[in-house]
Amino acid sequence: MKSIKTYFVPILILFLAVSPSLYAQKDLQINKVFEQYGEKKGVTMVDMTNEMLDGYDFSLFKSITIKNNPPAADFIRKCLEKDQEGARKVKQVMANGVLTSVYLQLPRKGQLYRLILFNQSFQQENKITLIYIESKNDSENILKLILKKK
Amino acid sequence: MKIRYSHSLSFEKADKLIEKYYDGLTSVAEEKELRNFLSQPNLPEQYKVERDILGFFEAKKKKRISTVQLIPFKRWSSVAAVLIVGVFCIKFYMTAYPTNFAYVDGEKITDVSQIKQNAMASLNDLSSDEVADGLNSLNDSELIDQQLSVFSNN
Repeated sequence: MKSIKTYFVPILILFLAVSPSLYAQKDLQINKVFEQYGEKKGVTMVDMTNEMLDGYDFSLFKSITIKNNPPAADFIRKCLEKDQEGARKVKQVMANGVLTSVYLQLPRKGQLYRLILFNQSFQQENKITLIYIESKNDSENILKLILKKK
Repeated sequence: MKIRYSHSLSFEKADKLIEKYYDGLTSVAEEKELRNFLSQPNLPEQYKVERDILGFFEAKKKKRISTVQLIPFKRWSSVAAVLIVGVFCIKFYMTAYPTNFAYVDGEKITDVSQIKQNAMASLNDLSSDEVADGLNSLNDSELIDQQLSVFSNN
């Protein structure tokens, strides 16, 4: 029994200390969105780790696109409200009092910059896009790169 | 010239104790007393044999103590080594074999090119004119001037 305590506790502490980057998004509310809607119909979810994507070097890239699902949009907005509290910098677009677009720069976790991007489009169809990014590159630069694609 | 020794035991008493020791009649306290006596420096040559005998026992005892102290160090160092190797293996695995996947309408996709295509599509949704214009307008000093001018006109 003593040996279990002797080995297990330090192992647990070390793993939690050494690998926070593996679970950096777990503390966020938007994680629930990916879990809840990710595998449903009318939804496209992407999960990539350590991949280069058209010039972007991402440690983690998670995106979800949901079509014609207003309750999902409300749920995401509620999650974002909570995640916004710890965010360092916020830029947002409101339409008729409703949040339609937001860019959240979250506090760094270790070496990782973290970014949440949300957009709801009403142009052709009601389309929600939520992206979570972890990268060693400055999140400001990532956003510039994304907007440059316009 | 007389040499004075400041020993706890007199030589006479020490000799008696040594004799008792060889007969196996000494108590623990007496053995301790004898050991203390023999551990002193500048003892005459006649006590060399007894010093060697009891010194040997002392060294053996010390050795045993140091072994006891080494066990936890060995254990901890082995645990640390295993942990370091484990963490490196996990990191290597995570980097070497990225877990990439996508779900489209509930169907899992593992083809990297298709996953990237979907990722790019979601990024394009964000870089639409609507979003970019909205975000740019927040940095636009003209907009701020325009809004402030409402107050200055009054």
